[in-house]
Amino acid sequence: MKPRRRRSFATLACSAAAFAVLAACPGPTQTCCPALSAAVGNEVTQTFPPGGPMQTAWKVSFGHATSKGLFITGAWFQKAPGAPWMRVLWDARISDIFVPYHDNSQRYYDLTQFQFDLVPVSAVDLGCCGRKADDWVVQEVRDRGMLWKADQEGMRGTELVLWSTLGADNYNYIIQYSFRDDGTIAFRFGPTSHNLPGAESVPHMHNALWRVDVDLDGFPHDSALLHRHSEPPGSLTANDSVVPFNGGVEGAADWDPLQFTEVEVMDTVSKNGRGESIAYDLMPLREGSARHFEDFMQHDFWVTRYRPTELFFAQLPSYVAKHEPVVDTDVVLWYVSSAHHMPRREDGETVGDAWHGVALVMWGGFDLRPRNLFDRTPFYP
Amino acid sequence: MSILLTRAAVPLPRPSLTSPGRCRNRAPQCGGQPAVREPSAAARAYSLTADERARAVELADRALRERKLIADGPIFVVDVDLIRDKVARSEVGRRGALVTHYRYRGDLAIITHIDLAESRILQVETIPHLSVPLAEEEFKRARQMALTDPAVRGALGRNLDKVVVQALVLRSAAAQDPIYGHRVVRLLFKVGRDYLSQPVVLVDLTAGKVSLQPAKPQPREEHR
Repeated sequence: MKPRRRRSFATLACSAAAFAVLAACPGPTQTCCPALSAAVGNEVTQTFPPGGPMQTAWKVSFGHATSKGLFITGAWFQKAPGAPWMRVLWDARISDIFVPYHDNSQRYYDLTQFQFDLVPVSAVDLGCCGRKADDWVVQEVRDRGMLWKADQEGMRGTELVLWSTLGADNYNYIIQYSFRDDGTIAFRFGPTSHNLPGAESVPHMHNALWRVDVDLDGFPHDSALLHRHSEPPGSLTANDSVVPFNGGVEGAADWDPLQFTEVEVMDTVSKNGRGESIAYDLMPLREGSARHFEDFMQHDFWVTRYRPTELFFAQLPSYVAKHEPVVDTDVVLWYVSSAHHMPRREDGETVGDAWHGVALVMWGGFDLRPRNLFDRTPFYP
Repeated sequence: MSILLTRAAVPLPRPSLTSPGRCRNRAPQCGGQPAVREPSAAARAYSLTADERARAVELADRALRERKLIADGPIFVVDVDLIRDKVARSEVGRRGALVTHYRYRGDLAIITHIDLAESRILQVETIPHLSVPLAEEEFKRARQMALTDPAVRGALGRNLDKVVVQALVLRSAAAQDPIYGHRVVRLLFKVGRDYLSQPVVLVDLTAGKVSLQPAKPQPREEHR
């Protein structure tokens, strides 16, 4: 089949305009750094494709504080040139990091029990193409590989990434939010650094306990839904269902790998140009589901109605006990992503009195992906 | 036991974003300068000013006294956080503060929600056994207790003068555990960029006791 004569979007990602930031990077070749916009205060606006004719854009405000890590204080998406900014997030953060050791020798709450701060940004954090959004936050625009392919045609995707390192004594946590050209937000959490002194070989779980306050096109009129896939044994067909989360009231749900469980937040008022309700899907990226002794660790997804002072993941069982509706209101999503750490030789070794070495980053998290936000894909010519 | 109501544990005004006490970042005790900068307009929208913080703590202290929540024993302000309550047509929300006290008696978090615009208490909530930050005073006390303990000094041996001390808080989830409901600090000892595997020192601030955990037969050298 002959290649069709369409404009190659692949060339845009690395166009001359996209070379606006060329860092002096050691190595034999020059690096293609996408154009970064400067952070103004704690706010970053990034257009996509970077340096090219704008198709979509993100405006993101962020914050950070002792015992809180890096968090998002607002995110707005522009889905076309001239389109109004649409709020997607009011606030998103890791509300706590729960780390129980398998032998029950310790159960740590790495965010809420200490006065841990972010680590100042270093040169290695910035790499060739990053810049400081401030002294504690790295801002990057990354090439994220192929957004789509159709034979020899294709387009590379890009994302605005804001990330920081939480210094938690012997451990570090990379907290990372990526805002993608297609409207997706990727939430990532990466434990790393020195295994616990005296318990270097004890397996444990790093649970990131996320609190995501999604406000689609503003805060009223959001509904939480649950997606389930089923393939009855012996059947040649499969079904997908979308039902009100927990019957339409505050509660919890479990991730089932056979059901491809997801949670959707749908705005009951705002529609796309085809009259379809706009929504975002919380798409888990996980290896398994941790079930520790604590009540708040008995489920993977929780949905509450927004109440401003409900910030503590450990209090979720009491928050949802009110059983208030999560339909056509203001909802908050809570989600557990776990990194199961079975120590290995690559983590380090005992040298003299001390443990020498670091555990490499283990990533976990989830994506928030738009559903019916666009009338059609803006990325296919 | 005397009543100790302190504000010193409140984190520094944002966006300095460093807390005193741990030898990390650019804390003065590490020989560096605290990273205090003038907050930008955007940063001010999403963080408390020093004035707001002070006012919030004052109001919360008063609320606790009025409600007779200050019992015998230590009580600390361990966190002061901005609350942005949603208001239609407001991009940043209505400003409030959440002040968290930690009271040893009852292992109790006392959380006070304050409307900063009207300097008014909206809610005082008590939550037993909630994970809350360690106050700087608690860390200093734990470090001092440990480093003056002969057994700890002996265990640290030649490293005694070289170690940087860090702290983790231990919590127990089981009511029958002896440390359940206690404020227990596990101390870490860092030499250079590595951590000593031993000693494992626990300081029970509630009971006023220092203990050394027996060395376990680990790190296990054979990883599967």
